[in-house]
Amino acid sequence: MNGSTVANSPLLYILIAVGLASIVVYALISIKKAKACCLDQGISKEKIREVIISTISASIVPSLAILIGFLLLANSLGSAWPWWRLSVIGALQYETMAATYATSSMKIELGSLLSGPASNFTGVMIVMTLGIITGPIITAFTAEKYSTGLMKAKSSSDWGNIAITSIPLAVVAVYVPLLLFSSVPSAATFLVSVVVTVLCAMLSMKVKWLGSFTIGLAMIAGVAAGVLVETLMK
Amino acid sequence: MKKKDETPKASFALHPFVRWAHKTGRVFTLVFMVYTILIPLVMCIVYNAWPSFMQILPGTATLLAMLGVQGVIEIAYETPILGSSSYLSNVTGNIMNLKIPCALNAQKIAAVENNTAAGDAIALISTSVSSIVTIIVLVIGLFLVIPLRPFLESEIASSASNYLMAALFGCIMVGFLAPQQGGSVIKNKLLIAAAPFFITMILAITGMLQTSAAVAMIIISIPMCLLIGRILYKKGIVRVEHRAKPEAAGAPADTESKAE
Repeated sequence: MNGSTVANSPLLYILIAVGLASIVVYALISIKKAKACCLDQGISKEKIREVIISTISASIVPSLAILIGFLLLANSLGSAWPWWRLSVIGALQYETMAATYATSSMKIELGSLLSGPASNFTGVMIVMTLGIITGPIITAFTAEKYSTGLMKAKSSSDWGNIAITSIPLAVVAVYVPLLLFSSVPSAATFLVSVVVTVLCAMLSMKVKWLGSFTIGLAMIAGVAAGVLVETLMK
Repeated sequence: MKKKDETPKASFALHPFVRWAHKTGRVFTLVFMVYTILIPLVMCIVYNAWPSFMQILPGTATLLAMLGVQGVIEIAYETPILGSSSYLSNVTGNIMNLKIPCALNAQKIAAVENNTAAGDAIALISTSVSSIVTIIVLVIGLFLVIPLRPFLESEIASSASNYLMAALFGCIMVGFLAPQQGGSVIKNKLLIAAAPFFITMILAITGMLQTSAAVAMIIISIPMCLLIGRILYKKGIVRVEHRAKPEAAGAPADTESKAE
């Protein structure tokens, strides 16, 4: 019995399908509850619909990038395990790193995992699972206190409001110059994305439906510009 | 005499939805984590394929040490944006490259502020929808893996994935520059971020900082922004203008009493 037996096991596919179904159910319940809260807070049904359509259009392109990562990992880990790992917890870059660390610490090659002993494959599964577990666990125990504390601070004073706004600003203040000044194709991507977003915002005053697709269109145009500039620079 | 930052305090009552979202989010996360750990263990039992303890210890310890610290830092800046949707975001992953941009975009469309009941609800809708979309795309990918492989493994597709973050932040940046956000407006808020912006810009131009090390710079950027924000607020340069009724973070008292 080798790693491929475990990697392509119907049982593994069933366990993953059940796990993913539970996420979908929880997400659907959350949408229903959140929608009721939005209506209670005076947000119209049309606005909620716009948010949903916009999120779908904004999620497709990054999801395709995750799909590329799935294919890269599937070469060495089979289809089922990368499917699970990239659908839950991990980001694309973490999973690739985790798989590499797991195999190198076990002194085995990532490429030989499917043909090697089954215990090597289950070992990698355990390392990848336990290695990236801290984020959700810490969130489970701290998010309520932290988040509601921020809400209280925001409602209690103007300074609380400013302090909370400072945190996302601090993130943007780091990522924007990094993406803008690290390379010419990256800068081209960023700038084209900004221009398309502004154009869509202006046009959406006349063409209402366009507003929901702004982020999706801006991403496609931005990424296309980045690839074009990279190709021209070669 | 009142101190400057002692603005009239609204009575704070947590909205029932926010309570529900935190409670169910916490339970769901913990149950899901147990399930996640059980999957490899079930495979070990069924196939009698147990790795030795020493095989898994070094890799697990290395990853925990690396990602554990990073996880704490990420939660510090993700939670103020995601609120009660942090649970689902952490369970489904891809936070910085998918969940946060989607949540910020959704909050901008709905004209709500984060860290309010409405902001939390909109972020949760956005996070839930984007989680479902990713799951669907990966399911489709699983079935179309063979026909899609030539395209997804092409040089163009590989290059394209390098520029996703730049494209996402281009869209977000426009939202940040927009003057109105929810019921209150923070005047001159971009001044708060000017110093870390220029420092990062210099480090990026000189090649001393790469995108992969962004988290390290964020650790410095957050206290810097808070300190600068505090100074500018005290000097009256950065101030909050309430254009409409300030959106309470919690529900009105009557909503709260109904929930009790």
